[in-house]
Amino acid sequence: MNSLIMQRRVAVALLLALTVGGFLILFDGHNPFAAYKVLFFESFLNYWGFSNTLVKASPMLLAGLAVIIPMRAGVFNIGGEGQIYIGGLFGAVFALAAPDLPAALGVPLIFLAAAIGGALWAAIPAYLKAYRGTNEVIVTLLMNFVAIHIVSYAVAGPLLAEGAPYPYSNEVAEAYRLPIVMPRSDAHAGFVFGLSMALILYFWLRFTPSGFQLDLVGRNARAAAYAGVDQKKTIIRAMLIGGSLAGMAGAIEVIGLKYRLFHLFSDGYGYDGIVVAFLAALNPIVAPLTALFLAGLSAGAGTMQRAIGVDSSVIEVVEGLVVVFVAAALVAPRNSSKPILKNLLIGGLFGRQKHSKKKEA
Amino acid sequence: MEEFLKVTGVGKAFGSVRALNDVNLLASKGECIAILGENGAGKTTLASVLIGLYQPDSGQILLDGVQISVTSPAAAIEYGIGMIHQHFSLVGAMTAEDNILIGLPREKRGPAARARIRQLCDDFDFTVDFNVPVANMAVGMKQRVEILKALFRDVSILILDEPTSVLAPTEVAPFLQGVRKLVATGCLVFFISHKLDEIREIADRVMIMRHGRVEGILPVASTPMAQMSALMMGQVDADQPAEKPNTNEMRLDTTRAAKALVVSDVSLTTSSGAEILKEVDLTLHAGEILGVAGIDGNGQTELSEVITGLKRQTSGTILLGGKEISGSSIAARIAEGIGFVPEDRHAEGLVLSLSVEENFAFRSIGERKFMSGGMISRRAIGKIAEDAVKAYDIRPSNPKLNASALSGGNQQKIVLAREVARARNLLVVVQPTKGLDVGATQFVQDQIRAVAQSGVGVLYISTELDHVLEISDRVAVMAFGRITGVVNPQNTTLQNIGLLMTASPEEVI
Repeated sequence: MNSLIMQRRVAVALLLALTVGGFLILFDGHNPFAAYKVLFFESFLNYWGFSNTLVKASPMLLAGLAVIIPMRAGVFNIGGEGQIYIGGLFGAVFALAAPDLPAALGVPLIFLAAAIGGALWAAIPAYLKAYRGTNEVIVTLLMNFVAIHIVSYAVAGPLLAEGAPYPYSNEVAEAYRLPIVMPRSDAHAGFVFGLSMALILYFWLRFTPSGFQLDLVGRNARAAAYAGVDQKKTIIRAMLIGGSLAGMAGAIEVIGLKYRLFHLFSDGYGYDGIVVAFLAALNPIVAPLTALFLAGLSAGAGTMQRAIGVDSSVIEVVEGLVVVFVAAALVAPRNSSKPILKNLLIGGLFGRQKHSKKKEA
Repeated sequence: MEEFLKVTGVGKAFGSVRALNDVNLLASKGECIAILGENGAGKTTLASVLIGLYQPDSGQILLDGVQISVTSPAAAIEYGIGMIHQHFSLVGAMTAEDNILIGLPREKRGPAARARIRQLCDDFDFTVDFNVPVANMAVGMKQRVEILKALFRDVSILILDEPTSVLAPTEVAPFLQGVRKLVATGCLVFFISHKLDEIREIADRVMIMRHGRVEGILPVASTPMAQMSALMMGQVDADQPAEKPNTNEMRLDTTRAAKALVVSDVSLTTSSGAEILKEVDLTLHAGEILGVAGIDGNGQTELSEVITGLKRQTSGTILLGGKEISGSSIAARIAEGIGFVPEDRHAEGLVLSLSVEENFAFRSIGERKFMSGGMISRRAIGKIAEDAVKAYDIRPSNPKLNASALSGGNQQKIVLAREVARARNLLVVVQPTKGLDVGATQFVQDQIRAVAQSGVGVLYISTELDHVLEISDRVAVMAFGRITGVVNPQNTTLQNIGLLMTASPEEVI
């Protein structure tokens, strides 16, 4: 689909989600405009609020890129969450095992270790998909739970800090902590890192043969084969890249925010990444914006509850609505002569969905 | 003759194409009628009308003297009409019994039903393994399960659509044996096939179709094969040379030209044992257009894929300009200057969601002409695309548009322009005029002639015999994975080509 049409549709889908959410707030007995004003003001225009948004946006952005790259090769990576956990584990283990390196060497090596961990975790479903034809959605999803429990075991057992009241590891060396970009806040350089990754991936897909060919496999696998592109290797490559991006998100949580490995340290960022990816219409350069938007919703929800009294779970509903509407926007018929709104409602939600049109198989 | 099935004046049109035109047919029980015809002759359309996939525009179908209206395949089963398609409709994970009983009400799926299935197997000498899921069966056994499915539903008319084309050679004889038993029990069998020798063996009568009309229904035993093939090709005076003005005025002296492509002893066997290509030998000279004719599905597509590297042959060698490329990757063959216009431009030759200009580049994006300073140069791609769009008069002429926005003819021009530009040694084209109007066809033919004139060897694979004869210097005819003959289009007869297209090679020589 024309990416411009797609982005326009996604924008409409967002508006629809916020509108329906607004009615929910209204039924709850509050003024939706006031609620949204607080929500967005607090998460984007307030210094502390924005720092909070940035903290959440960093892992979301990398997790989003971890969905985008495999998806561009036609593989749906739902395993971002698990890859974050394993990445965090690898990063933390490296940081704890080698605490005395200079930061300029240690930090890149921690990222590298985390990337390797995430990539290893993604390599399993990648191999099964490419060479055994196993559905990657199921494998990546189920492996998330395995990964979460591996980390829980690690921090409750071998990595448990001495005298810890709660399952967490020792602190990583101070030198390895990511720099703070907004003074006195928690906002670390993770988002800047994600932003540079987004830029690199955008250029890679658009201006290098290997990136172009990865995209080709997702658009039309048979045409890619006709162009001599090895589909199996491309799937593996895309998943390894996705896994390492998510793995680095795990490292960012460890050395950017918490400075330790906690059990349950990622609060569903891997799944948020799916929303980030589709909101961005699978374009890496748009992902930072959609990550900020989604992080803002989530960061402002608490403040909104305190200030207006709207239950913060309304925002979770809005996030759910965003997913539903964006999904509808992506599968709605392509006939762009119909008004977009009508198309979305009639074609996307209630009509027959020609899902296969997304790929020209 | 006892009239069991009577078809009178059946017609069916799709838009302006008359797929069936005044089809009449009388058939009795216990008869096997072969249906013979070229691609698009209307064989499958007739079958689809009989089993209710299509509704006829005109005419009647009478069963035992009563007019019936077959509105769906389910209704066809009610009337006792069943069909075995080329692509089976079986559930791979289920056993033979479950597949046969699928969709029946519970009370009909009991032990009695299972006993009856085994009885049917005994009656027809069908070997079926009831312990394994269908997915693990060989093709021949799957086919037997399909037939059992129909028999279990008490069909009295069974249509078999090219049933032997999917079978390994060793499976054919037992299959024909089973069909013979079926006929002996009083079943009316329609046997759609291209294989004259099988028709000879199994059918009582042969119904020859051409352009949606029935050209004749003849007793097989007393009709010479030559007459069948002549009727199929529509040449009444079968002994006259095919009057095809060859427009290549400068005949090529192939004895002196260099060999662009030598295919020797190439075979391709699938994992299930079906022989798709059998000991294919071909020589193509530089500057020559070698046509490959044949009925669809006789190995032509696979031949193109083996030469261009999309499939790997089981045995044999391929030389490009004297250099062995049998083991080279697709990318390596692209770099060697092999252009390839595949059969399915939508699914294979183009990426419809990419722009026109990207479609000019995607097959060899890493080539120097598309790059600048190690990066893909959108400007270089745009420039190349713009020139090609102009040269080939591709419309709309905006190369930034998505390829999906263009008509079929213009899409084909993109593929052709791209592959012609690449072809330094060899151009392989498959069905290049499929779905094109007269003007676009002419244009495509002219471009192919021009590229041959420049010294490139062209392998022109098509099922449109008129086009093949018109453009080719020599024509190789394929049947059942073999080259059954190489003829000069100027002094051969359509009857001869028809025989080559349908007969097994032993009979031709």
